[in-house]
Formats: sequence, structure tokens, C-alpha cells
Amino acid sequence: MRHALLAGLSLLALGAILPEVHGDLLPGRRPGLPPAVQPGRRILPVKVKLEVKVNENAKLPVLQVPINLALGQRPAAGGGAALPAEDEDTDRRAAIGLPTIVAGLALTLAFASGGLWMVRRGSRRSLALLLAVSLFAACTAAVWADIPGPNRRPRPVPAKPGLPSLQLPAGIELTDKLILEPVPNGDHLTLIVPKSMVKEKGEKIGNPRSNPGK
Amino acid sequence: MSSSATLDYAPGRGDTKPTPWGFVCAALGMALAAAFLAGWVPLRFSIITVFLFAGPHNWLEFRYFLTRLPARWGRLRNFFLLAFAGILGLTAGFAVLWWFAEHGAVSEGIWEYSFAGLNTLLLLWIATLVQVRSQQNPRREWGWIWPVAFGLIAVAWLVPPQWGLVLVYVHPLMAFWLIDRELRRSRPQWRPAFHLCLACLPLFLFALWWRLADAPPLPGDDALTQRITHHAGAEVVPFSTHLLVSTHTFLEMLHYGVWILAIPLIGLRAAPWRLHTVPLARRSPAWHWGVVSFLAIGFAVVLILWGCFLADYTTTRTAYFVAAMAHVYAEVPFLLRAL
Repeated sequence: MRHALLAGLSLLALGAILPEVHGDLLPGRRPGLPPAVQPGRRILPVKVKLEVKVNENAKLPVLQVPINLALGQRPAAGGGAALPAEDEDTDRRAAIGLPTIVAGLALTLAFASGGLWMVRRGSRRSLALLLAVSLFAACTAAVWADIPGPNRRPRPVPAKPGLPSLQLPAGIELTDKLILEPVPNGDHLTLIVPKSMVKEKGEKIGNPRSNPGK
Repeated sequence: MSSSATLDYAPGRGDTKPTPWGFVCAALGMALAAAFLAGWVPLRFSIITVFLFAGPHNWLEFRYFLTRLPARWGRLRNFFLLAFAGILGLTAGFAVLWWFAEHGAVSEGIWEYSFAGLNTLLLLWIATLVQVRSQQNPRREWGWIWPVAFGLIAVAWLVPPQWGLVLVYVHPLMAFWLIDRELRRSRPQWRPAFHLCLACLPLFLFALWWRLADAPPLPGDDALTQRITHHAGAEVVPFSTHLLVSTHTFLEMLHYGVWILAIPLIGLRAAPWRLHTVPLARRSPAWHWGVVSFLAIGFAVVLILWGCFLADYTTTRTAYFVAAMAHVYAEVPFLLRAL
């Protein structure tokens, strides 16, 4: 009877651990997406070039940011070429590697040592507690497995005053509206501006006295 | 005809029993003032409290540990050897890791793995100490420590930055446990009043969180502000930096209050400079002078720390919180001995 009870409890504990291990191989991410930045991780600054293009069809300025640069990764050697797919795979493997293995091992040891401790105590209350904890772990692991990130209450964002126009070289004036477009890996940022934002030579932006004849 | 008399050395028994209401009023008044100042001017309050109390509280803590350290270890030898090896080893490991990270010698990934590894060693060290302590008199049934320790190791590997933050916020609370044990030993009639004060702690925290949950982030992007906000958990948990720094500073102030006011009044049973309550100092004249020397060196370190704070507060504060990990670790074995 005692052995059967031990075997049953061990199977239950194993059942509780398996969903934890397999429930979400990439916590907070789906396969195919670039690696997420872990909380608290510092993104290192990267020195890059900015290329400005004028597009007659554009209605708003577009800033194209390569994903690798946004995540603080340096451009691939050779410039401009996308990082090889192996790097992403390596990064992903590293993300699910050692911490998950050690955590799984530690949880296994926790359940094993906890079960042994409770069985050694021999009281029915302890066994009932073990059963309840195992069931709780199994159910919560199944429920929480695919919920990304902490569930935070949305807060109203206070309205910010509009930013002043930004004057760039070559007579380009940027307003406070900009489309941020993530693009595949690269080694430079690209700013695409509508032709209407490029001022003619001699025309001073934001200074009406520059052309007193009008 | 003969007569006999028994000398009663038990602390507090010969005293007229003072009422605990003065203690309650002082504790609650200090907590109220700390909560108000921490919520109102968190950065300035943090800077001033660390400057004033960091060194003295460490010195008094060291003095308290001397009072609780037996003159001859006997059967406790293994426990104390393990304790001191862990304190020194973990502090050195943390300092080396921090130094490498500060100088950019380790990548972010290596830092997280190393930090999780260090915390694994910390948890295994604590679990082993608990196991050893449970086999000494008075014996305890503390077999649950291993599943708990392994569970916490899993957490430490899954979310290393958040786990580090737990240590930052839990450490100030350990002093309350120690003072409870001291009250049980010397003034048991005060314990209900002390527990009443402890019950008010969640109310103070709730008031802070209620007022500051939606507070804007603290202004300033200088090195000192960044150090203080990062220490309190900025970028690790999604809360306002104002709330985080206020909560941490409030708990730190209570921690300082316990070590600078409450423990000397209740736990030391004598003025800190009077060494007749220190067992090691009574062992022999050589040990007496050794204890005196250690305390004098500690006092000099406090003075030097103040000087360094005045010279370069940011660097000194950073270095202090690395070296101060030793007193965080040291509280574990002495708390276990008090249980």
C-alpha cells in the first residue's frame, strides 16, 4: 500500500513538472519572432549610419530600424548583410538553455525532496498537503503556460504636448509624427521623408523674416 | 545554619517590568516619519539615511554578533566554520562578479548565469546551515528546507534580476525576526506590543503604494539617481521608480532603526563599549584585547566611511553596498542560532 502510494505520488509530481517544462519552451515568445529582450537586460548602444531618402509618394516620414540594431546587436561583418540565421538560432537556444535546464532540475529535486520529507513524516495531513500542492502545480502550470509577461493593469497615458519641429541638414524639417518601421537585419538606419518636408535652397524654415519680399 | 542564594543572571528578570507603550510609541512614530519622508523626498531621504546610518548600523550589528558568538564553539564548531566560510566566500564571489560587470569584463548573459549560480550557492549554504542547526539542541524538524531551497533555486535561475531584488527587499525585514527573538529572550511581555507594531507595517506599505502607484518616475538622470533607482528595482519590475525608491528607503530606515536603537536597548544588555557581555572577550586577556581591537578597527572604518561619503558619495555608496553583502549573509547563521 505504502509503495503504491509512493509510486502514485511520484507520478503525480512528474505530471506536475512536465507541463512546467514543456508548457512554454520560449517564455513570452513564439517561434519565428526575434529574441525578446529579457527584463532588466541592458541594451548596449551601437554606433550606426543614418541614410536619408526622399520619397515623393510618402505622406509621413518613415524611420526604418533594423531589428538587430534595435536589440543592441552589432551589424554583421561586411556591412549591410543580415545576420546569419544561425546567430538567431544560437541566441534562441541560449535563451532556453542553461537556466531552463537548471530550473527544471531544481524543481524536480524540490518535488522529490518534498515528497520524501512528507512521506517520512508519515502523517495523512502531510500527504494530503502534497496531493494538494501537486494538483495546484499541475493546474497552474497548464493555465499560465502561455500567458506572456506580467498581467498589468493598463494605465492612462498622460497627453504630452506636441514636440517642436526638428530641422535636419539638407533642409529637411521633421514634425513630431513619425512612422517607425522595423526591417530585417542591417547596418544602418534609413529615414524616408516626403518631398514636401525638403525645403528649397535659401528658404529658411520657421523664420518668416528670411524672405522679406513675401 | 546555612543560607544560600542564587544569582539570577537571566536578563530582565531582576528588572522592574517596564511597560512596552514607550517602545510602541517610539516604533510607530519612527515608522510614520520614515514613511512620510520616504514618500515625500525619497532620493534625499535615501542619500541622508545611508550617509548617517549605514556605517553605525554595521558596527552595532557586528557588536551584537560578538555578543551571540560563544567563547568556545564545541559542538557548534562545524556550524560556525560553515557559517564563516559562507559569509566570506559569498561576499568575495559577489564582489568579484560585481567588479567584472562594472568593468565590462563579462557579457550580460555571463553575468546572469554567474549571478544565478552565486544565488544557488547562497541557497544551498542556507539550507545546509538549517540542516546542521536542526540537528543541534534544541532540535528542530526542518526537513522542509530542501524542497523550499530547490524551489527557490529554480526561481533564481528563471528570473535572476527579480530574485536579486527579492534579497534587497527581504533583508531589511530579517532584523524584525531577530528583535522578536531578543524580546522573547529578555522581555517577553513586550512581544504582543511588538507584534502589534509589525501588524502596522503592511498598513504603512499599503499607504505608500496607494499614494505612489501612479507617481511619475523620479526626475534626474545623474549617476547617483540611477544607482539608487536601479538598486530599488528600476527596469526590473514595472513600477514607478518613485514607489520603488520610497518603499526601499522606508524599509531600510526601519532596518537601521532596529539595529541602532532597538537591538542596543534590548539585545546587547549593556552599552556597546562595555564588553562584559561578550563571551569571547571573557575567554582570556588576549581575546579581550583582540575583541577590543576589532571593535576599534570597526569604529575607525565607520569614520573612514563617512569621510569617503563626503569625498565621493556615489562611488562610496556603490562600494559600500557591495561590501555590505557580508552583513546580509552574516544575519542568516545568527538568526538560526537564535531560533
